[in-house]
Amino acid sequence: MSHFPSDRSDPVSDPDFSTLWSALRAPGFADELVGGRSTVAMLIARGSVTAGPVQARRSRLSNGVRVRIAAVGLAAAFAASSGLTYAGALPGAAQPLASTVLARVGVTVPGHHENAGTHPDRQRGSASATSVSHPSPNHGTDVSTLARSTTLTGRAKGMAIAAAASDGRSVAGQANAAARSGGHSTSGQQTAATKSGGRSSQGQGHRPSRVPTAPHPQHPASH
Amino acid sequence: MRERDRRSFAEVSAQTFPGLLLAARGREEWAVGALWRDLHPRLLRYLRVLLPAVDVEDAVSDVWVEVAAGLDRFEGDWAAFRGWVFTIARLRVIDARRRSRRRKTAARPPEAITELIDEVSPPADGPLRADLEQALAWLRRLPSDQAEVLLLRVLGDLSCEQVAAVMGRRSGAVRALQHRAVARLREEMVREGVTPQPRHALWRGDEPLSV
Repeated sequence: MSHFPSDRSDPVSDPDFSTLWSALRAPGFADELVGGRSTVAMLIARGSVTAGPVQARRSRLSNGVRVRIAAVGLAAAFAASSGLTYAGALPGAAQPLASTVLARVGVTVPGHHENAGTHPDRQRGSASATSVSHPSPNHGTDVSTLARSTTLTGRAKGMAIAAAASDGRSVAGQANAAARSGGHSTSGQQTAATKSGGRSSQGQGHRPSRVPTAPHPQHPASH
Repeated sequence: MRERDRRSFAEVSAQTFPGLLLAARGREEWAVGALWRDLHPRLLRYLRVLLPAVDVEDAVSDVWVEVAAGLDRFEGDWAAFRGWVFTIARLRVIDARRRSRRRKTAARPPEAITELIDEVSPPADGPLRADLEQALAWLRRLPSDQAEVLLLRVLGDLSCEQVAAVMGRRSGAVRALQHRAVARLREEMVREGVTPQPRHALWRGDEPLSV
């Protein structure tokens, strides 16, 4: 039985151990070479697969080019997500998270508090949502204080609160007010005057009292 | 390739290796088989010293899969090829040890596994096989890095510089490890009452080994 072929002299030169090294270098025993044929067949098949055309196609790009492409893609994704975050245009769940992350690196962007009261999914990219300016972080408190402290009553109070809450963009009640102050009341008075030959005062005395008697839709229990 | 050439490549050597590598890259079964027959027993013995028996089969399979995958990219001579293969084996040893540390159940010590294997299937190759098992047992007594240096030098047939490249150390450090390993081995043998002299009994009660 021959030993492993050696290309160089005994690696460990101490002759006291030559028998030990000879035992280690003994050629493979039967139980060490069990399954050799099937293993070699598997290695050939696996080697063919790994050296196939797929690997050849992938290797056309060098590792350096792949790293650069990945870096550019990563930078573009970061810039795009930062821009959306700064505009407050991310979906509701993502906005506060992105705001928190960017705040840690010193970038201030709108968080979820600025968009409180709006549906999360409606914050995404609409022109009205992105153009809204909020003058105060205590906007809700201000509106609430106005509602409790104002001396206005009735429709005037509602319009004032709506105007304060919407930063002056609300038109709530104005159409009805125009209709009531112009078309409806005047036409009623004209009709009454025509029918009575100018003697009727119908509607004039009751007009101020008609508006407050309308039930408040949000507080039915108070009436 | 002609049959005469195939027969001449049956044993891997520095002279036959270039042609054999070429044939192995061409997926010639006989060439891959020749490489496997030469290196597989060496790898098994290397891994059996450094890993628990339960991890050896997986590790050696992983080594051959990587060798097959990287055969087309390899460039070098027979010694470089052995160094490359043992570098892969060493990385698999590191992986297996890492997995073993994460494993909740402790593997049985190698001696216990060896005893168990011996009980089930006694070596059929007689005294030569017994000598091999005893040699592996001696090497298991050494610290891992010392045993590894000796294994790479003897089984891998690598120079100190090549071992240093495989282990990622300086050649001076490898020489120091080798010196300590041999000294420790001698110490162990003396303690066991075995005098490490050539042509004398290496183990207590055994007949002298024939080299």
